[in-house]
Amino acid sequence: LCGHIVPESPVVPIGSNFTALCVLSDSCQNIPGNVHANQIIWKTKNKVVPKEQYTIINQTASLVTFNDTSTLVSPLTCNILVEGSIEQNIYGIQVQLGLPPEEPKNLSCIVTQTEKDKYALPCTWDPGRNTFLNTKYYLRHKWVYENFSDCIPSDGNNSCTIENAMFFVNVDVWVEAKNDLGKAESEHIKFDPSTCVKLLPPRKVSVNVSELPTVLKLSWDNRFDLDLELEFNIRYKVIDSLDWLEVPPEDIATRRTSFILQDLKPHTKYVCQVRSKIKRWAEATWSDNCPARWSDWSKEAVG
Amino acid sequence: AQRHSQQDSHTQYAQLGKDVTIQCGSVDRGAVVTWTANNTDLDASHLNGSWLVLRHVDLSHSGQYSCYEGSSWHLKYRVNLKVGTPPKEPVLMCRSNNYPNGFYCSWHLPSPTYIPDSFNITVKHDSKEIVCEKDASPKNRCYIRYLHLFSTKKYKVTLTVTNALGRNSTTISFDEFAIVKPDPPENVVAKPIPNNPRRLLVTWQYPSTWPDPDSFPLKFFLRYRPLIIDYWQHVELSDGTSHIITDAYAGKEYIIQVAAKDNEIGTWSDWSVAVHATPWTEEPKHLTTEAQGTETTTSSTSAFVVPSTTKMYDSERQAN
Amino acid sequence: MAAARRSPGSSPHHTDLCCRTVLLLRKMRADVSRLLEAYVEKQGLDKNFSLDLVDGVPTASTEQWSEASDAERLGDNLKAYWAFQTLLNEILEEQRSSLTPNDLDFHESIQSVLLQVSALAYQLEELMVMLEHSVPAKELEGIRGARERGLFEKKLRGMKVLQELAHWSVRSVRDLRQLSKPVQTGAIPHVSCCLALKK
Repeated sequence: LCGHIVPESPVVPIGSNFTALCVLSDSCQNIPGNVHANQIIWKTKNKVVPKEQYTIINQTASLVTFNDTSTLVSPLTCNILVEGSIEQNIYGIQVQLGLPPEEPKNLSCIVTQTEKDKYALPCTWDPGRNTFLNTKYYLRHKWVYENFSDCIPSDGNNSCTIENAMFFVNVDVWVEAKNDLGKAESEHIKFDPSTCVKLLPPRKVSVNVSELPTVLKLSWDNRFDLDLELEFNIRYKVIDSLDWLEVPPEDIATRRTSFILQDLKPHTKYVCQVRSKIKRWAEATWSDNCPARWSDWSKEAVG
Repeated sequence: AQRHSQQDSHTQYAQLGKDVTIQCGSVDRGAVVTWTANNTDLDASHLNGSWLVLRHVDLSHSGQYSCYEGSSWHLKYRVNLKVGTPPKEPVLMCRSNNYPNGFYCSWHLPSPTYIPDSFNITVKHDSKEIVCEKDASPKNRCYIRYLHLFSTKKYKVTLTVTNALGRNSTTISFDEFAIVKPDPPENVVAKPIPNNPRRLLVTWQYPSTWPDPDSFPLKFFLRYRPLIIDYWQHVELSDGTSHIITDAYAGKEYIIQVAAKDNEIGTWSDWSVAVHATPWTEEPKHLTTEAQGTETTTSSTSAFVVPSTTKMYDSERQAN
Repeated sequence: MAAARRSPGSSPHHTDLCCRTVLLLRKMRADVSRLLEAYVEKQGLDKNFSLDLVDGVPTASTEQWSEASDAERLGDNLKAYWAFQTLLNEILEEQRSSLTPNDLDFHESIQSVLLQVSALAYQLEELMVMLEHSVPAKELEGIRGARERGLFEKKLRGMKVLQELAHWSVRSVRDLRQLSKPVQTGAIPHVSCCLALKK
């Protein structure tokens, strides 16, 4: 080797300045005669760097300075001009330009019911600007006295799903972003997962005619048997119509599995759907960090 | 002839369907005697010497049997014959309807024995015997006070029943929590709500036997259906002692019942007494409430307001 | 009974903490009951086995329950759940190392209950601090040294631990309920534990 450049493979913040040093080595067979650092020519991707940016340190070392990184294109090479204007490459480095990660923002989580007794905690966030670097994001969560393993996004960098959300214990969730230029941490959100569940929709929704032509009996199963109160939305419409009608929420604000729809058009087919939500039980404001959501609408039931 | 009847009366038991032999006291087997059953002479075919032999006795054989010395009509022996059966395995049930004060055990025989039975009950917990305080009435019941709470050790209750013809017993073992079953809610009342043709207000009270509702709250299960329709609807309520039914058939009389259960342990009570009510309608409707006697609803003269029970729904609106 | 000094009124945060602890207890109880069933089956035991001879496990059984003070209640609960943390760790280790080494789902359900117990212990401690009770010292009372036990004894002990834990969860709900009852002096309860929750 006829020389080397320091630093070896730098990661340089965009918009900052950068200096590199090329050091010629004593033993360099294929360059005859006595070589001096002032013969060094710096190039960025085959474009000669202006001499003004050079500083000769001594006979064997030349420094190049970039005041902003806009012209700093890889590779950055250190070359020697030998007799007969033949250029000999001494060494080259790949310069990575990028930015430290910004503080991830808008962290939001929803506890999603995946099975009867299984709840996952998918969270999303805004990763912020592109860093142009290999930036790792970790969704971290812990209890006050218990740390849990990180959730590492499988694809993309703005979401991750914590497999098992444990209810009735305040969890502290945040995102950490890290790359070679630094790391950043999102705001922490603290919440009890039980306050922000999106339930699976009610199932086995069925509509049965009743003894009265203007009445239908709607029934369903809830897939949630924890100790929390449920509230419901019920919507129904004449088949093929576009206008849904809705039962007043206050009429269906307790845990139930049926409702009688009345004042319907006699001898007419109706389509019905139900959705449910866990009623807020916590009084403290922090429980707004992660409010409950409505389940999706159930499958349509026709009767 | 006048029978002389100065003789102590004995009692003898006989098993239903079996043969019975009654001796004439200490009279010699060969002596000539006469037997009466409830003062009716018995013919000689029943006699084996001075012994009376009754075949495949049934309940009608129960009665007073007297033996007289043939010629002097002198009463030699008198016995009360009681026909019955040995006791079958008794049915024993323990239940706590006033947790956490204690629990009672009650028992009965699956079939009558027709003769006097005596019961003996032993209650063991943590290898110690606990007193079961007999109730004055009903007789087949006794009461055990909880000395410990939240014990994982099982209670073992053995009931032995004995009568003249035999003896039987049964043993049950249970966990403290499993036998907690409150009595049904009391004073269930259902009323229409003026100007609400589909609503009924139902109220009830804790069973009076439940000692400490504050520390041991109950939850409730309410079921309701129109009289004319055999389809119950259910609502489970975890606190409070009232509920508004919001989807009652307009103008239809409803039957309503409530059940109770401890919030943490045990099983549901039986259903309460059923009450009836009809939602408010234009014309006043009389209200019949089995438990409460009749309550009349006076239709308010206020302006008739039909609450908007349904709202047009903008299908794009996704309320969160 | 030492009357706990209760300052008037309880903040939403206090009530939430108590509520959350009760909900956690009920959830844990459901999980423990399921776990106990699985445990009995996987260890080949009979659920009616007498466990009276198994010691070293905090028993929920108590005599003067209604007379205990708040501090006594919370302190007894806290010590019990600390002990259960240790015991459940032992059970998990025994299952992983020798009793059910390949049953990962089973280990996970034990781990889940263990997490709930540690959360409970923390929340009870938080409640004690909030109510200005002195938190008991964390000594492993009643947990004997790691005397080597036979496999069958280990199995029985695990069953006893889960059985007592299930009963403790009921007792704890009742204890927390008592916190929201004014003491004889009629002071306002420091915590209104919303025990009669929905279900």
